[in-house]
Amino acid sequence: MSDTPNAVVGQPLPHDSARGHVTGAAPYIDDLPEPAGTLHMALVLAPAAKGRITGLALEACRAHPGVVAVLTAGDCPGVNDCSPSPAGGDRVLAAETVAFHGEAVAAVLAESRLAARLAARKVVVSIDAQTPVVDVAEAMPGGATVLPDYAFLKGDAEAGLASAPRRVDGQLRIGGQEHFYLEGQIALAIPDEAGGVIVQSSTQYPNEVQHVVARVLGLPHHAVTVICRRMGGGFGGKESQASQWAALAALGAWKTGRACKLRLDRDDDFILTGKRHDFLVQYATGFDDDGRLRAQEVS
Amino acid sequence: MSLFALSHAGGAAPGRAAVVDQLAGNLCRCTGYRPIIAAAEAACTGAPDDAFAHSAAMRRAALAALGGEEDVFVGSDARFFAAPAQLDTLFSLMQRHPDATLIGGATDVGLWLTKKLKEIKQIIWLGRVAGLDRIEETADAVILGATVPVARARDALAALAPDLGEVVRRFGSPQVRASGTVGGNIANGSPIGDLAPCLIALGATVRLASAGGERTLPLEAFFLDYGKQDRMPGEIVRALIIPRPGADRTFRACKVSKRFDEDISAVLGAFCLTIHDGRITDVCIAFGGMAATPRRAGATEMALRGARLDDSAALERAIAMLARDFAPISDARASAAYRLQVAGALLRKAVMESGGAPVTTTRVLAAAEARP
Repeated sequence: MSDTPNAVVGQPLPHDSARGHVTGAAPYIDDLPEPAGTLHMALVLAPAAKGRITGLALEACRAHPGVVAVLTAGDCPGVNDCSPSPAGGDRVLAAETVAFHGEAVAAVLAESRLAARLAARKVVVSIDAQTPVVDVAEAMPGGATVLPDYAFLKGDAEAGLASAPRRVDGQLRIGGQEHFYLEGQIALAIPDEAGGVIVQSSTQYPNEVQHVVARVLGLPHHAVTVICRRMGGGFGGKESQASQWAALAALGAWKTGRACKLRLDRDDDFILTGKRHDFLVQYATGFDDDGRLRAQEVS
Repeated sequence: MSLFALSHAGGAAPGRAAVVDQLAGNLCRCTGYRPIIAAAEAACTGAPDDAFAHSAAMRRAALAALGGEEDVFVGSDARFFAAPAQLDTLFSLMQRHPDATLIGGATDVGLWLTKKLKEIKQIIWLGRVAGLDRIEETADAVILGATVPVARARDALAALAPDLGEVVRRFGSPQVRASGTVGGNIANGSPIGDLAPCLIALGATVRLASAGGERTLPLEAFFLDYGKQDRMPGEIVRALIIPRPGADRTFRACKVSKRFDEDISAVLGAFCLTIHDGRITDVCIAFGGMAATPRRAGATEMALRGARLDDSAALERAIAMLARDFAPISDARASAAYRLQVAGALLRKAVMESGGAPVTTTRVLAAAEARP
């Protein structure tokens, strides 16, 4: 019977969305009906990889037909941070400096998506550019890290390597990869009746999106409702990386009192999101004459 | 969607190769190609019995009703979409609006809108012009009208030379081939368009037409510089005339791209050799991706002309001349050094094959297929 687990385990049951996915009837966020007056957001991307922002010329953008508002880092009522890590450090909008090429510097809200995108391209971002570090090997001598180092240790690798009859050392590189989710990053935020916000987010981690949106808006968690019916593929790319767009859409909704949608253009999506980052792996392996492993150190 | 189209393509079981071709450009991010291909082979057989099939007659009638011989003009003089039905109305429209953008399949111009967010105020679509989509087969040439979609030209091109068919098979995706036109692929002047080097090597000419009449020039002369073609105001690319290679000629073309399917060429080499008694009496070599335009390798050709097919020293001297013919750029698709090296390897392959070397010794895929 269906109330015993064995009745369903191992059975070829269809995915509950299979019919919708195959027939194309399943709605993704961009398919949902937009509330009347929904605003669309487009982002202004940093034209340099590293440097100090010396100017942000918004006049031409603001004057573009259909533009309702242009938001910058200072517009966040809460904390300008969408990081999944307690250490923080991932800004919703770049402030004072830029950390990577294409980082979001400002968000343009307009009556149509095309108007927002056209207007965003009219913003002139002036940057006192510095030389970026773009390679792991180049970063290591200077000790430039994104997060503090951590290690998984078992036994004494150093002693094991020293006593092993044989040893090989080497290194390998693993290239970075784009997650290539089918549905791109998207969020639709709708102001609710009590000063909070309801966010439709294409995310693998709705509760983190809730926490980040609340943090950015300076709201208690209960004031933020996050809904994710389906996400059109994530592959890890919407675990921590969906929060920024949800926070930006929510910020737009909170600022204007109107529903606000942010759907990244696929090219911008590639530029704005990071990881799966590339790796430089250095290893030392100690082993005996029979090929039995004695010790290994990998960094 | 691709498989839906295949299931409606006509009855017979498509086979694995056709399914894979149809799926080219569809990235399966969940790594499940095997069941997708198996499902396609099972589903795409017999006449489909679905709502789309049931409404086919109605749809065909509705589409036929859109035909006719009247010109279409929507909008104002400042901002319009026009679809002239005749060459003379096209030319008078172009005279009135010399800055209007001409589109065929819009596979290139479409990206100006979606990616560059360019505003195009005056659009003239060539797809309705009567006779411009004709494929004409004469005793010694194939004449492709400018608006013939690449997909529809495939059989005629493949019949000229198998390698040309293979280049077309890997040209964009099925969707792009269905909309993109042969005339557009030439007229946009891209240095990495796949048809131009092939057709140049085959000795094709391009027929240009305007209100003032027609002129025909060798295809290679059409490409003046990066983004600059020998097309005068008021002129359109009307047709491409591709001579059939005679029995004394061999044609080889090879496309090298980072991804095998649906990718832009890093280098495309096309080689047409005329051979008498084991000697290369004439040769035409053209490359895409090696210069700002599709271009012939004049010095390389000269070094090869008159050489015996088995004269490997002459071949290597010719390959060395590629560095004199081309100074390719390094970009996201390939470095300059790689481009030169690949160009040489492709020429070596073409000459070896023309000399009778079995493709199992010159081509990875053929070798793999030949393995028991």
